[in-house]
Amino acid sequence: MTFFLASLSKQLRRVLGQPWSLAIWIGVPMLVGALLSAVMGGEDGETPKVHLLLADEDGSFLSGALIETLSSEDFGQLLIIERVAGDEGMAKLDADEASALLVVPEGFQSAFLASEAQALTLVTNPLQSILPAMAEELARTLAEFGSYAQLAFGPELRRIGEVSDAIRDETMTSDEIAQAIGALAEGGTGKLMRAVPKLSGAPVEIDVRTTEGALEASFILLFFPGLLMMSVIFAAQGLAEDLWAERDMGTLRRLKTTAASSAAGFAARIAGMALATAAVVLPLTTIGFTLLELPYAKLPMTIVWLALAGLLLAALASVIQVLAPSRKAGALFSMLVFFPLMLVGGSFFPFESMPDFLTVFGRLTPNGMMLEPLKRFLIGTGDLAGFVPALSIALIATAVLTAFTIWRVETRFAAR
Amino acid sequence: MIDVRNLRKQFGSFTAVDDISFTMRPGEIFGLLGPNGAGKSTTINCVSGLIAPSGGIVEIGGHDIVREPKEAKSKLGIVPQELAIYEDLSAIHNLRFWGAAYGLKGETLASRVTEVLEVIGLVDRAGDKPKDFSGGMKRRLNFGCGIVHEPDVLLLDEPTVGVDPQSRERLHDMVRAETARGASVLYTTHHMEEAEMLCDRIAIMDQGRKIAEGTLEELRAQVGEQDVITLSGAFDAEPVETAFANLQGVSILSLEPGRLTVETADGPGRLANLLDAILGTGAEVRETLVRRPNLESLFLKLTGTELRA
Repeated sequence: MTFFLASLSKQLRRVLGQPWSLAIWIGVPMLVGALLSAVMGGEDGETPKVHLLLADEDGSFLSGALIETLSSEDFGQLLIIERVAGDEGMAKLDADEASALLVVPEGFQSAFLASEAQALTLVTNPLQSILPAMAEELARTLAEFGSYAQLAFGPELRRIGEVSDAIRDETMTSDEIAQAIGALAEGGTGKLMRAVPKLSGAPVEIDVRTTEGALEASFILLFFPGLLMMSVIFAAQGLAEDLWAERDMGTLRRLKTTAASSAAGFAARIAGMALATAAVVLPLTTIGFTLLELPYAKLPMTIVWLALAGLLLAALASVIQVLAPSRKAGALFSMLVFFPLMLVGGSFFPFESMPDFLTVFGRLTPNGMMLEPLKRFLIGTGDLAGFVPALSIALIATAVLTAFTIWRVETRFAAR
Repeated sequence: MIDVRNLRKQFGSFTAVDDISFTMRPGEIFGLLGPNGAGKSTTINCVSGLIAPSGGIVEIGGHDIVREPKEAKSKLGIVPQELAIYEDLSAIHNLRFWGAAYGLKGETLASRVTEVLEVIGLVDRAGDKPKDFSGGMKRRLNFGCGIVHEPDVLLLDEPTVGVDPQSRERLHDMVRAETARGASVLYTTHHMEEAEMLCDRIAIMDQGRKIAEGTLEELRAQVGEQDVITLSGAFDAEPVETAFANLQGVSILSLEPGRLTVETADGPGRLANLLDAILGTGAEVRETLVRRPNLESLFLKLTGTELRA
């Protein structure tokens, strides 16, 4: 027990004696988090909107109605609508001042009412990616809606168009207009009128809600656990590289000549790694909890889980180090393994923003596996039971990897 | 305390240690003397359990280092040739760690750490890290870490390499202090003077084999009262051998085209005669060295090569 405590004390003193390493393990994820948060608008930042330019070259009742619809409050959270002339719109797109330009061509209403093929033109901004794609999706939805309306209410829409044109051109008397509206109401338009109440009181409703107690997952909240894992990975790599430091100092070799138990020494090393990882992630986690207003009751479990993740990752990093032929090679191999793991394992990009196939792979990585239950726990969609599968795998993997490291150190690494 | 019998260590087809045997008694300093590559460090690595012997037996305090490593190692202290201390831990924490590694605990550990700090003269620097120490201070701490648990057997592998004379003297005093309390010390060195000054018994090694063993007096007796004269220059073997056959009391130890080593009583007095005889063969002599009988001359006599080569 004395040797275990002496080893643990030695381990922690040596970690604390490396302030620059600690600063990097904590500081780099902080910096990455701050930068990405700023780029993505952060927790309280305004949601990005599609800046849609509208050029109405038709000037008709229907084109006006379309523009009014897009300008309504319902789309206000998604769209910024700006009416422009066609040339002006193109100039603004070229200057990267908008996401897309929707052109309603001349003759749009006439073609629509005559059930003829007609097209809205959408010009997207090549300098942007996501927002123009959203505009494109919206335009397709509008086009589909227009097509269905045309199929269902073609004759009625044609008559409405004729009446509105007559009103505009003053070619019908008041009596004729009233008669026409009456005919629309009594006749075929009845189906529209009968449909409207059904549409407004549609039996199928979409009830949008989130899991009870769950938080609205902003980008930074989704990213936060990945940042913590990034810090854990840095710490794990650094702690594993310490094997080379001990080897170079000759202390591993000397330790082999003592009667001290290797198992006790490595148990102390593991405990030291867990405590060091916890100490490293504590400030980052506390800052994150405060900024994201996460419940502090979840802080201890978060720290414990990250320390456990640190053990698994440090065990993996240790295997890489003891297999490497030199200290330089060890650092290089470690980077070659852990950098891709960070990229696909949710530490640089949340799984939610990654392609599906990559997400599947990322969740199978050691860091991704440890990240997922933590993320669900923090957002509120998972409970403590959600940790169990990953915990079991992590404990077994850590034990196996550590046993291999001990064997390698005893037989080859320390004796070289 | 240590009983080494027929120790052999092979690395592939290379035999680093070949059939070495020796025993050590309590309170004795046993020196392993030999040039670099003679197999001294490999021997000490086998004795310490760091590497497994290919053959033979090493017993420490009656415990086989291979079959009962824990019992055998508990009686051992080692001071390796290269420093083996934590450069980023203070001197006192180094001693505490290594003391704990050797099984000390509690008050015993604390008091031994205090004592060792005094012995190695680092009381004032106890809280400082070795990375800020001089080479000599690091060596002393390295030594301290090996004796903190008062081992029955202390293995010192060239502990004075790169150490200034003052620190070397201090290390020698510390070694003598260990034997004074009854420890056996196995001391490897390639410094003849160090072995002569410090060791009670000496084994001379060359190319993995033990070529001589005994007290200093016993080894000197093997050389006899003969001086060794080494001549550098250009020599033809046949005329030189013929010329020396006529010289009484002079025998050739080795003869190479560029170097001639001979043994004779009263070397300085016979030097003029020797030179006349050699120069008479048409040889050219550029340098002459006369050595009084010592371990180096014994090594030269036994191997035909210089100890420092």
